[in-house]
Amino acid sequence: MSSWKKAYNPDHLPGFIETGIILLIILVIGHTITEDIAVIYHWDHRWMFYLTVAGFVFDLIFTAEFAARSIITLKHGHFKHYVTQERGWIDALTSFPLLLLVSGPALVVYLTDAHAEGAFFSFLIILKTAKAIRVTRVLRLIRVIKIFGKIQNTESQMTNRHVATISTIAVVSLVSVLVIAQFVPFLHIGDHEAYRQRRVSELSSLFQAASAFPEGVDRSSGIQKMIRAEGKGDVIKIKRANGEVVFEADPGESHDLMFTAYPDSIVIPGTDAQVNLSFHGADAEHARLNIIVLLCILSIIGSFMLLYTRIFAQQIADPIFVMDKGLREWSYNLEVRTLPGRDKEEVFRLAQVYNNRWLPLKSQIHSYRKTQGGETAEKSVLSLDGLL
Amino acid sequence: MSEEKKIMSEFVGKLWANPALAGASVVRRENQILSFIRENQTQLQQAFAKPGYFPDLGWDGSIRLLFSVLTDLIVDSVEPRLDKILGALLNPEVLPQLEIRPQEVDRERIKDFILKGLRNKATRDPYIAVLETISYGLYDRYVPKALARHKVIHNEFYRKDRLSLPAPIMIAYLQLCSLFRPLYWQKVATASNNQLNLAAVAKDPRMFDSTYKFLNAFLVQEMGGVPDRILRVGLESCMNAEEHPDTGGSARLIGILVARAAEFDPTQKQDRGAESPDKSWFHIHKKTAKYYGYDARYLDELYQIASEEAW
Repeated sequence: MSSWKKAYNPDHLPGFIETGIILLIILVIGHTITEDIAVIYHWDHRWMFYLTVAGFVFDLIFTAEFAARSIITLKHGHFKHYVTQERGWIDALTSFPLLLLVSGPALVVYLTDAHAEGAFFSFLIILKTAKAIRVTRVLRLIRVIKIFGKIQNTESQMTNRHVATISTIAVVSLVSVLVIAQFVPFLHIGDHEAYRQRRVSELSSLFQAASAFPEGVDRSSGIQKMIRAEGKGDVIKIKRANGEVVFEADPGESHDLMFTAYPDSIVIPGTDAQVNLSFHGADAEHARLNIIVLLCILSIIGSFMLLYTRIFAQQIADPIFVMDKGLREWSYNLEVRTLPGRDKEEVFRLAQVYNNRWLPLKSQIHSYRKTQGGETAEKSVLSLDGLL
Repeated sequence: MSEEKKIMSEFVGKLWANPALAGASVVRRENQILSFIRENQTQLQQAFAKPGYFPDLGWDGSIRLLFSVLTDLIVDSVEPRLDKILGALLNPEVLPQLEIRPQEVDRERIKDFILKGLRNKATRDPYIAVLETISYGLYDRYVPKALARHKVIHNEFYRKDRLSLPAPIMIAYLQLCSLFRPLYWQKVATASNNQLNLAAVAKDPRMFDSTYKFLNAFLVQEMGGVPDRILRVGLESCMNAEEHPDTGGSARLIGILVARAAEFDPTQKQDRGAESPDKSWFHIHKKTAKYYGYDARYLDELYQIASEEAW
């Protein structure tokens, strides 16, 4: 610790840990996609548990990482800089809030008896909040941007910073829209209440269709076949008022569906039956939206990194680099390459002045100094070290 | 070799081979060493006075020895290149194509004369610039392109110089003429026993012609003479094209390419966002053509060639 204080590492943590964190970010993005796929395809409860454990572990690691960075930067008096300039706020948002509000409670519910009454209700609340916050995990992709700078061979700090900034703005905008949409009724995709109403209406239609069967046909059997033919897999049990069970899901399915069931049985309008329904279909809709948004974000960030980095470097960073070098070094006399049709842009207007005024002037000054003091007027690059 | 010369050779050798000078031209290496001596004079004075170095020579003696060793090193490093160039230009197959009888030039005497010139700082830099122009292949690069374009350079060669040579022969012609360019700074004794060079009398046509005659006589004595039209082109290449509008087309091109070679760094990398080295150089000097006395039209054409070829 004390050695860290003496030699401040702008990356905060040792190199191998930083590399490990980058790998973990890529893994957690994969985990996020896998979790959404698991919801869409309603994977076995066991796999959902494993994914929840994995999510908890990831969130725990990132929370520890944020804590470590906070401690180190506080010690060096750079905490504010870390939070505001080095995107520490993203580290904060994607660490302990997810641990405390998403993966932590989810794991607790899984580890306790999840069939217990009331646990479902708590779980529902947790999931609603979790859905809103979970998407912020993708913000961690911003941290990956810096390694792409090296891949592109862009040593320009300005280029990397600008690309990271516009990527952050784009991603935060998308994520904000997704979070806000959770709380706007007509925008909320995967709303449990809307799903419930729709499904109950559909089941009511099924019952009406069954009532039109000719006499002698087993209506319950017909209803079972129709429900299975729907393929939605969200009906746990349908029971009439007289206790007759019209439909019941297989025991294995039923066990998994209980984790995503509405707390109370729902009356099917126009019938004397009540249904125990699972809302995993609503969650699947929301999960599809999450994957689409995630892929959009990946595409946007990828495009910025691969395409915009090059454009920014070519049109801004490289001309500035050449001018900077030409102003500092007497012997550097390469002109700035100006792009055709961009003469009116600020950087290239400056480059024209540099090419047409400064470089010829520098050449004359250098030539004059040579005539006055000979070439020996130039400072030597040689040193006495190791010579005598 | 005396012990002191051995020690000095080792010292100068270390400076010469310093990694900081990797890729530097001979002229730049020499000037960097001279700057180094000047900047570290105090420390070197103390060191050279110690046993193991040159306690008996004193500072002046040490410096004379250093300059002598440095000059030897420079001449030794340049001589193989000079041999190669003279071998390529002054051979019985090339000379007749330049309408020069092989008997008119004595290769060995020319070589000895140039080596002698290399030992004098005033003529060393111009000689090395000329040799580097040829070694870097600047004539080979630009002359064929310029002739093929049939624009300013080609027209000047054809109309002013009455030259209609194929590109390889034109290159040999220009290289040969440029070998005698440093004679512009060669001091010769005049009728009044003054030591004058053509550079000092360039603005006075009568003095120039008079000094030229003495230079010619000097050259006959030193190297058996040089064909007049070859010598004139070499000397004219040093003149300001603005002040001397009658300067021939070949001379104008030699002046520009030798100046380019003096600042040419074959190891220079072209940074991203930067123009190529030759293109940059020609464009900058087009803007300052009057200051340097170059023909701006030539620079413009060379700039266009460099742009097309990304040189």
